[in-house]
Amino acid sequence: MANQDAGSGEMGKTIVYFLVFMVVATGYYYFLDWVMMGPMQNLPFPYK
Amino acid sequence: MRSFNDPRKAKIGAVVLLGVIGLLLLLPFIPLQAGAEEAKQEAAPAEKKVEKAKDVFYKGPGEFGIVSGPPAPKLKYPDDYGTYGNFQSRSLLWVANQQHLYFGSFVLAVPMFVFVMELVGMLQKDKGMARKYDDMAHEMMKISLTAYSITAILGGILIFTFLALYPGFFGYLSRIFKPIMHVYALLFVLESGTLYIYYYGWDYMNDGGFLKWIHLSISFLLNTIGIVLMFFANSWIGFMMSPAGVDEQGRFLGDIWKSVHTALWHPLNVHRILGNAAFGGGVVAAYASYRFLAAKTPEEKAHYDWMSYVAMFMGILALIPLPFAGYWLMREVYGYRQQMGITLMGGLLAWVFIMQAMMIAILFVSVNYYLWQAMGRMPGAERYYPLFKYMLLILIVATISWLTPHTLVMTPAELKAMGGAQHPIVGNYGVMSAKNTAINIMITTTVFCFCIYQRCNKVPTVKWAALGNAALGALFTGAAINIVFLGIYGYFIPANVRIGLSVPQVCSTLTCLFIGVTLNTMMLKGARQLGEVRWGQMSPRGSYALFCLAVSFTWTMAVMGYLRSSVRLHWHVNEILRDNSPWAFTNPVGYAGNMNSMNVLLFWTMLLFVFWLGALSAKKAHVTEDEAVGAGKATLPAGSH
Repeated sequence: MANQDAGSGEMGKTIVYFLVFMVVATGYYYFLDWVMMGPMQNLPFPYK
Repeated sequence: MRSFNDPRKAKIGAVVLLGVIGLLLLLPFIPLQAGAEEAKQEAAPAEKKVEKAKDVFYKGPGEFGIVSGPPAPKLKYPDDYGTYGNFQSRSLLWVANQQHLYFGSFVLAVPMFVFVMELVGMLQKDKGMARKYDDMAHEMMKISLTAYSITAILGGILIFTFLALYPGFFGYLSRIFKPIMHVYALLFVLESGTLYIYYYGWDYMNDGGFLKWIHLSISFLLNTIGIVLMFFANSWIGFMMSPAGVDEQGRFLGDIWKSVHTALWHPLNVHRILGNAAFGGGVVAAYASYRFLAAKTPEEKAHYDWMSYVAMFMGILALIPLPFAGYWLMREVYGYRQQMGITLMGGLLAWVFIMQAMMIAILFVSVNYYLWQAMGRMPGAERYYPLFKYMLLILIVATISWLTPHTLVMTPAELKAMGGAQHPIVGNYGVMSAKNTAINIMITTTVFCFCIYQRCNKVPTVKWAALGNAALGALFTGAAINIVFLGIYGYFIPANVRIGLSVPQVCSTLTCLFIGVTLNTMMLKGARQLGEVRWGQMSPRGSYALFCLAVSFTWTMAVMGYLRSSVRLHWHVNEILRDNSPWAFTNPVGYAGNMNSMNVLLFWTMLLFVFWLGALSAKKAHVTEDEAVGAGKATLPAGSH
C-alpha cells in the first residue's frame, strides 16, 4: 500500500522511511509486550 | 391544533414533554429504594424473630441478609411443568425466547443508529447531505416501528410460554424480581409512547433549530429507556447463571439490588449492547441491500447503496470491540465458577465455540469481500486490486487455523491409528495461542482493508505523504509480526504466562485500528480526488455479501445464546433451583444447530414481511412524488421516501 500512491522518484525515499519506521514500530511493539506482560501483569517477560 | 401553529407554544410543549419523559425515567429507582425500605419495615416489628442468612455470592459486611422469601421450590415433573402434546417444552420455549430476543435486539439497536444518523445530519454544513442523513434515519425508524409491534407480540407469547410450560420456575423468578418486573412493564409503555412521539413528530419537529434538538433529545431518552429495559432483562439471566441476593436454599434476602447486580450482569450488559448494535447494523444493511437490488431508478439505487454502506459500517464499528467484550465476559465467568468456564471453552460445550469461530470468520470474510466489491464504485481503486488475493489468503489461513479443533470426534480405530485424540500436526492449531493470533490477524486485515477503501479514489497531497505511507506500512507490518511472534512464543511458555499474551496481541490490533485509521484520515485531508464515488454502481455481489453478513450475525447470536444458556446444565438457577424436567440434559451439537437454523429461518421470514411493509409504504411515497412532479411542484431530493 505504501508505494501505491508514490511516484517512481518517491519509491526509494519511501523504502528508507519504511525501514526507519520499522525500527520504531518494532521498538514500540516490543515495549507494548514488555509493559503488558511485565509491570502490568507481574509476569516474567521475556520468559526465562 | 391552533397551539401547534404557535412556535412559542410548540417549543414550551416540546420542553414539557421532554421533561415528563425524563422524569418517568426515574421509575427504575423506585423499586430499588422501596424494596430496601420494605425489608427494613418487615424486619422492625418482629426483631426477635428475624432470621438472617448468608448470601451465596456477596462477601464482606453485607454478606448476611434478612430472609424475606421462601426457599427455592423442589420442582417435580409433571406437576411443575407443562407440555403441549409430544413437543419438548424446552424447544418451544427456546423458539419463543430466541424470536423475542432477535426482534428486541433489533428495536434496541436501530434507535441507536438513528440517534447517530440524526445527529450527524444536524451537524452537516451541506444541506443536501443533512437531508440525506435525516431521511435515512427516518427510514430506519420506520422499519423499527413495525418490528417494535412484533417484539411486543413475541414478548406476550414468551410470557405465556413461561406460564404454561415452566410455571414453577417462573413463579420463583417472579417472586424475587416482582418489583422489577412491574417497572419493566411500565418502562415498556413509556418506550412505546416515546417511540411513537419520536417517529410521528419527525416532520413536525424538523425545523432545523430548537425543536429539532428537542427531537434529538427524545431520541436520546428513547435509547436510554431501551438500554434500561435491556439491563433489567439481563439481570434475570445474570441471576440464573450467577445468583446473588439469596441464600443457599434460594431464599430472597431482601435486597433486590444484589439480585440484579450479580457477577455477570455488567459483562452481559456491555456484550449485549455491542452485539445488538452489530446485529442491528447487519439487519439494516440487509434491508438496504434488498431495496438496492429491487430499485428501479438510479437515484433509488444510489440511496440504498449508500444506506447499506453506512449501516454496515456502523455494525462493524460495534463488531470490532465485541470479541474483547466477550473476552471480559468469559473472564468473569471463570472468576465466578472456574468449572463453568471450562464447560464452556474446554469441555462439554467446546464444539459450539468451534461453530462460533466459523461464524465470526464468515463475518470478517464477508466484510472484506463487501469492501472489495464496494471499491468497484470508486475510480482509482484498480490500483489496489492486486492486493485482494493476498488479503484473501491471509483471511483463509487465519480462518482455517481458528476453526481447527483441539481434539477430533473419532472412532476408536481412528484414535488408535493417530496415536491419541490430538493430531500430531493439526492439533497444534487447536490451542488458544493459534486462535488468538488468527482472530487478531483477521481484525488487523479488515482494518487494513478499510484504510485502502478510504483512499482508493484519492491521492494524498500532504507534504509528508511518503513519510505517512511508510509509517502506515510499518505500523501494520510491525503489528502483524508482533501478533504472530506472540502466538508462536505462546507454545514455549507455561499456560499462566501464555494467557497474558492475548493482551499485547489485542493492543497491537487496537493500535492499527486507532492510530492507523487516524493517520490514514489525516493523510487524506485535501487529497486529490480521482473521481466521485459512483453510488449505486456496486456489483450485486456486494449486496449478497451483506445478506451473508446479516445471516451470520443472526446465526452467531443463536449459537452463542444457546451456549450461554446451556452452561447452567441441569439448573434453572445455577446451584439454587434444579431443572427436574425430562429436558434438563445438554443437547447434541447437531440438534442445537438445527434448532438455531430453524430460529434463523423463522426470524428472517418474519423480517421479510417487515421489509415488504417498508417497501409498500415507500411505493406510496414515490407515487406522491410523481404526482407532485406532474403538478409542477418541487420534486423531493433523491432517496427521499
